[in-house]
Amino acid sequence: MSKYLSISSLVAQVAPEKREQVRAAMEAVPYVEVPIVGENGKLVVLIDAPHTRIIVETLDILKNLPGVISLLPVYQHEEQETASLLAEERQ
Amino acid sequence: MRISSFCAVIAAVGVLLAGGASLSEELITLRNGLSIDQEAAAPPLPKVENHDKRRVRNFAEQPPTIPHTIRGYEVTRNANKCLSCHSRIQTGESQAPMVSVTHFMDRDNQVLATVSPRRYFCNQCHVVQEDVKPLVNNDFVDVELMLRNSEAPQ
Amino acid sequence: MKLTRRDYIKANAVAVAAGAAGLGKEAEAANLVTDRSRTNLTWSKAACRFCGTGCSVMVGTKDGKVVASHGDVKAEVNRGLNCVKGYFLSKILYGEDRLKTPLLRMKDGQYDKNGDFAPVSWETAFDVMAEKFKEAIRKNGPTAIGMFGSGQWTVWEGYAASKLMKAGFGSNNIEPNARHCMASAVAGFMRTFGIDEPMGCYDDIEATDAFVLWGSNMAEMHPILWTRLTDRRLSAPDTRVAVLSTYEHRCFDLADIPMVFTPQTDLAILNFIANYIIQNDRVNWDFVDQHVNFRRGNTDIGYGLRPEHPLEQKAANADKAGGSQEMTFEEFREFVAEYSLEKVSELSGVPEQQLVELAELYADPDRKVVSFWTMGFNQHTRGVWCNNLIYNIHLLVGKIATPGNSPFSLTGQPSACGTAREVGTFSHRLPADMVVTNPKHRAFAEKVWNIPAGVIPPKPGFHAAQHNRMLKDGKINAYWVQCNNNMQAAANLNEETWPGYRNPEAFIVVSDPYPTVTAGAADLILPTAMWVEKEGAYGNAERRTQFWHQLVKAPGESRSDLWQLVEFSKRFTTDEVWPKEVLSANPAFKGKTLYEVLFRNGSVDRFPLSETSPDYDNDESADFGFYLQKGLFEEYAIFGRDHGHDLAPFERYHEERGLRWPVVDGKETRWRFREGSDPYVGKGKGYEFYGKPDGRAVIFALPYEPPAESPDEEYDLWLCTGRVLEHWHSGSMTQRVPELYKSFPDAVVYMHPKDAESRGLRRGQEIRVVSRRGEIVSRVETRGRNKPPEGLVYVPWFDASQLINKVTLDATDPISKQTDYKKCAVKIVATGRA
Repeated sequence: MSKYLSISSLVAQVAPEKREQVRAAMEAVPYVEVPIVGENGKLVVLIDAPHTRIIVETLDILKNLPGVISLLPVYQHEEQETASLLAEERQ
Repeated sequence: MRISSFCAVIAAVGVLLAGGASLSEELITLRNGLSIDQEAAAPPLPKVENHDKRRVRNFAEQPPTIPHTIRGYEVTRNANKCLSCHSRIQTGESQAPMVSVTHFMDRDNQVLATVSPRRYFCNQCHVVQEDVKPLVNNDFVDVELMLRNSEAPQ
Repeated sequence: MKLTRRDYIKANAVAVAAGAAGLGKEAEAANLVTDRSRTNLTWSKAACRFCGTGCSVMVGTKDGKVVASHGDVKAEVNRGLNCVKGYFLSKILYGEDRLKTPLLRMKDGQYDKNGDFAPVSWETAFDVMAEKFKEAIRKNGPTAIGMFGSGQWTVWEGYAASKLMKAGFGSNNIEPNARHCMASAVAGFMRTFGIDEPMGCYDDIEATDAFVLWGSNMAEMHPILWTRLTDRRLSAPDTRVAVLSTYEHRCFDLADIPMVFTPQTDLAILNFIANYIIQNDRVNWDFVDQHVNFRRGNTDIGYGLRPEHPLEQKAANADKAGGSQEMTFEEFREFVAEYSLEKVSELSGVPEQQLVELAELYADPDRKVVSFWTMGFNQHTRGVWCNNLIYNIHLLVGKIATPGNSPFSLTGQPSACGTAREVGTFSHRLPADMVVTNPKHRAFAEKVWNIPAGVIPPKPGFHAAQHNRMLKDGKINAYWVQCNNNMQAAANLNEETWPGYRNPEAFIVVSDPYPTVTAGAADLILPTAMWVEKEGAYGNAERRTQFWHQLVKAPGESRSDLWQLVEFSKRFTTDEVWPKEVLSANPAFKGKTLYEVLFRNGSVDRFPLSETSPDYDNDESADFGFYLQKGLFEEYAIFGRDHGHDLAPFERYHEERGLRWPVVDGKETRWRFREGSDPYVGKGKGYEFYGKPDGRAVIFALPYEPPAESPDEEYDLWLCTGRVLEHWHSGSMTQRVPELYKSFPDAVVYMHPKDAESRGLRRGQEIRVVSRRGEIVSRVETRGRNKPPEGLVYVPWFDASQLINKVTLDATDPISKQTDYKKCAVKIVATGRA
């Protein structure tokens, strides 16, 4: 029962004109996705990591990327792997 | 995969008695593949999951399972230990979830001042979860997943 | 594209963040679907699949799947509540190992008793099966086939099965698993009242002042009735609760008078109460003089074991266990006089003070009292006596058939009443309390069924315990098991059930949704539709008949028990199964299939498909081309109408949350046998026990007799078996619901800490539970919900990997033939492993 499911979403404010570069930089970081990029420089950032510890480390990396003005955590979900999740992954 | 897990289980539990014809034992899922005339070792007494984290319900009306141990909790005519944290007036201090508002209603759906005695014995609906893996997976589909799937882009 | 739970959580996370960032427009979806056309669930009523309480549930379906369920607020039984099993009903259909195709034991492409299971078509399955059934009948006659059914069959499944066996194959070898469960209650009713099932109803709970539980752990086995009882006890504080059991269980948490007695001494306690009432001049003479007869029952009746067993050889009246003679009240008074307070207290181990308090609940004319009992009474080698003796007490004080005064036999299974008892799927019964031994009853059944006289055999078939014995002895050669798990459920697995099923002379067919222990011991397995995968009807413990529609499709090639029974009948002609003389006297029936004679008979097939509901599937009816369930129900209802068992018209049950029979002039009956509440009671009679020719119920003189097996020096502990709240019977459904499995995964041996200590055992240690017949490996539990006294252990039987019925004894009540699962002698020894 050591496996965790740990999913966070955040809103990043970046310089609007650099938003595509920042997105690319973010997506180069492991476990990070940027599903939405707003024209006003607001980005929705998703971290799907195997453990909460990794999320914290990832946040540090993202904060220090050039062009990132602020990073606001919005949502955090964490649970142990249940049998049904494992079953899904086996399929 | 089925065969290998079957063998692993046999290896893990050990077979006490040998013999008996080949009877397609793997079929009997809940016996871990062991023939009826044989006896497996008994699994150790499990431990109750005691992490205090809420679990996702299968559907809205499902009574939540208990995420902590209840060993030694008295629920008798004289006292109800569960309510010492989950009753409305205790939740400020305990930060435990309050018993659902449905529990204040009597048989005729009249709302009472306190929890209805028909809901008094909590364990009739709310149960702990032992830290064990289910023997058989269940293919029940969460309705929200079903809705999401049905709207997936073409 | 399949969305997993992980995808769903991620989508949610994105949606929430998008909302926070004001980017909602760009988000693909909000985190809540609100479109009504899509979020709508279809809600339909159904009866709960589990116990005899008969809760109504609302079942939510979407896109062909059950996705939710909850207690039905419109149902009088449960008013919106469910127990933990009921709340998880939605998941019982979806165990990943559902059977989806027939499986036959084969070797080199042929059936072989020692072959491995291989998938076959229904065509092949029925070919092999029909050949085996025909061969058995050809060689050894119709008593060489048998069927073991269920109190969990729907009403029409039980009716179709009974008709196929008795009117089709001409064999009375049909039994329900309800024989293990309710047979003593049935025989008790028939002996005392001449008509089966309780006179009262659940409304008694809210109307009474006292509850006495005799061998009934309602808190776990009838949880919703327990909520009603708890509600009454706690909201009306003068109410009293007395609990009698051989070990302490959850009901003791509410008990005002908690009593643990030595096994079997309930007989003495019951007689003590009758004695107390008489000695203290508390007899209700108005009632007794007008409505009661006294009889002395035969004693020394044996223990329902094999006839060669020494205990049977020794018993004076083993062959006339049910006999009785008239007696007077004076003689009855003398008979019970020996059951004095001192003597019974010493025998039972219950303190005198408590026995008096208990007796006062019945004797006090100003107190109403309900007695509840289930398996503690019924699974008892003197179970019928226990039932008779409790009626004695209620009759002596006239506390019966009025609101709040009620001797109430609770039912174990959801349709033990509706199917097993009312339809009469026992080896000696016909519908509506009729029996095969009565020539008038046979003639009536043959008339309703429109079959020639002489098809129904007059001799009762083998009873349930005998089925396994006869399989072992090679007397039953083709056997069909539907809707039960008897390899796990029947007592004495090692000596009878297992050798019976694996006897090379036997061909065993098991119909089940899941690969149970019984299925694993079969030769042919038929995959079966369950619960709301078919249209159904159940009858609960208070005579309430409830219907539901088919709400979803069964997986793969699964078919309902009903479809299987009717389809199988097509493979036989009358010439193959009926006696020659019957056919030569009735040549019109020659060459007809059993399908034509039993189901395409102008009665069962008289309602067209157009009468089925347009809103729901009905797979069986669609297949056969007529409204099969309605036809079966309406033909069956002929037996009971104007006969004390009136049922309402079919359609009405699809509207109501059940109705309690007799339903006369559209109105249900809550209290039978009392003028004003039962339409069958004559004017001016007050009470009338119309099951008996003179309208009088019977008080029986019946003594304490010892059990079949008691602890001795070597086997030094009593073993009591039973259920737990979280699992239904053998666990074949509930063990496949992860939440229920995880709440109580494995069986344990509940024992007193001192008993553990004196054997050098500690909690959690691995042990063997050993009897003269077999053993299992389990673990010691000295804490938790059950607290046995010293000298007794309790082991639940739901666990397929700890088959406690390897250990139990197949002694039965000699009258009811119901097995005593509550008493046998065992020893407990450490395995030596951790």
